[in-house]
Amino acid sequence: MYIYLYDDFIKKKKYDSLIKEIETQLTDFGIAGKILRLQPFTNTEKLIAEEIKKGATTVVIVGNDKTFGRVMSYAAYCKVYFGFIPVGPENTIAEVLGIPTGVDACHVLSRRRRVRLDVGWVNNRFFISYLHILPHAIRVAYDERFVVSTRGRNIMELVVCNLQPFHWREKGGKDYVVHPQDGKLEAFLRPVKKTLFLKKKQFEEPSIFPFEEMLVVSDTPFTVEADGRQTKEKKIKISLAKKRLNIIVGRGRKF
Amino acid sequence: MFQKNSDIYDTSEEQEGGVPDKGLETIVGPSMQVEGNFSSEGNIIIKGSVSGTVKTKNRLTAEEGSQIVANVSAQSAVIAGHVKGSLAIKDTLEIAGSAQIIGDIQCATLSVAPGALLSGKIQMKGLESVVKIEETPKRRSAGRVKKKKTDDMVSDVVSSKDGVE
Repeated sequence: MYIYLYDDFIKKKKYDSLIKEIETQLTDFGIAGKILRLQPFTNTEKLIAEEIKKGATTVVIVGNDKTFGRVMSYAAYCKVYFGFIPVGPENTIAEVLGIPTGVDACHVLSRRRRVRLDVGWVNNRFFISYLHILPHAIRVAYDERFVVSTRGRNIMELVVCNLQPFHWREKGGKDYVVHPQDGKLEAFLRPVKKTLFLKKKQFEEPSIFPFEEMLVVSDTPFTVEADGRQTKEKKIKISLAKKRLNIIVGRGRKF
Repeated sequence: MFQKNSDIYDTSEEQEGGVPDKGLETIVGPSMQVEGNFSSEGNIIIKGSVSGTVKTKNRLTAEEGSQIVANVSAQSAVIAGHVKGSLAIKDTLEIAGSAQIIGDIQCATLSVAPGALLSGKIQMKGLESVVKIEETPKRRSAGRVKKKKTDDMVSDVVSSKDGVE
């Protein structure tokens, strides 16, 4: 049985015709199912757990990167297959999964090409796309083996990528692109250069560390942004949950 | 309705996502300090400073300006910075002109650019067999001396026995 989770923004009039087309296509393929609309405070984990009890086997998210991250960060516990129909702008995760936007995504869904994906785990919740720690004085310990710090003020920015590719362009023209699903998480550390008052922050060359477990500690609370949600933490443990997520992907996936 | 979840996953179509851990590059930036057992499966590029141990199954590159106070083991290495510690390289070690190394070096192939400063013992794999061949005759002569000693001891015992009689 299929369950479709529609994001709140899909209510907008401009998506009406597209949603109708998608629903018709799904009915043609014989994979139409129950539609649930997500509200800003919907507990997705509970919602999906209830539907599994009622017999749901596949949960399809209809929305963009934010919707995907929001649902998955709590729903990755649930033992069902997940599908994704990207709608609207900000759909980089769909590209990685090889799912085209709009009606064409129904073809991918009907073919049911399934893979198990690695998921990032931070302080008792999953993160699907990426995790970002804004510039702060932090100390980082990798896999309980070595500690990384910077000379001087120790202020640095940290990005951990999972499913959403991370691009960082160096001045000399070299491009860093982090590929998801390579069996490890990649951490990008960029120390902040000393800047004059009211000038834009400048970063030094990044350091890259592939890891399976990482501990980030600071004396003062720092801002953590995971799947678009911001929290303040003093200590976080980031690790990799291997082959946690069962998801339907397209032929052109990038891993 | 009451289908077991475990049944859902047992399908032949299923593929496992993820590429085996290869080709991952670890980069230590110029202002970074790493302390501890620093190891990686892939290539390591060091531009900052590292203390402790450094291990990789692939290539290690220590760029100019880097400082390593550690015992290093790698498949191959290019050193252009400062190293204080032993280097155990399985394959090729390239030492650039800007390099300063204080410590013993073990490798199969070595290239040193003019201007590089080295202090320590250098051991290369090809030489080991030549040294063994040279060492073997000495051992034989040492054996003979021992034999002589034993012969002397026997004759001493015989003579002492004769004395008793």
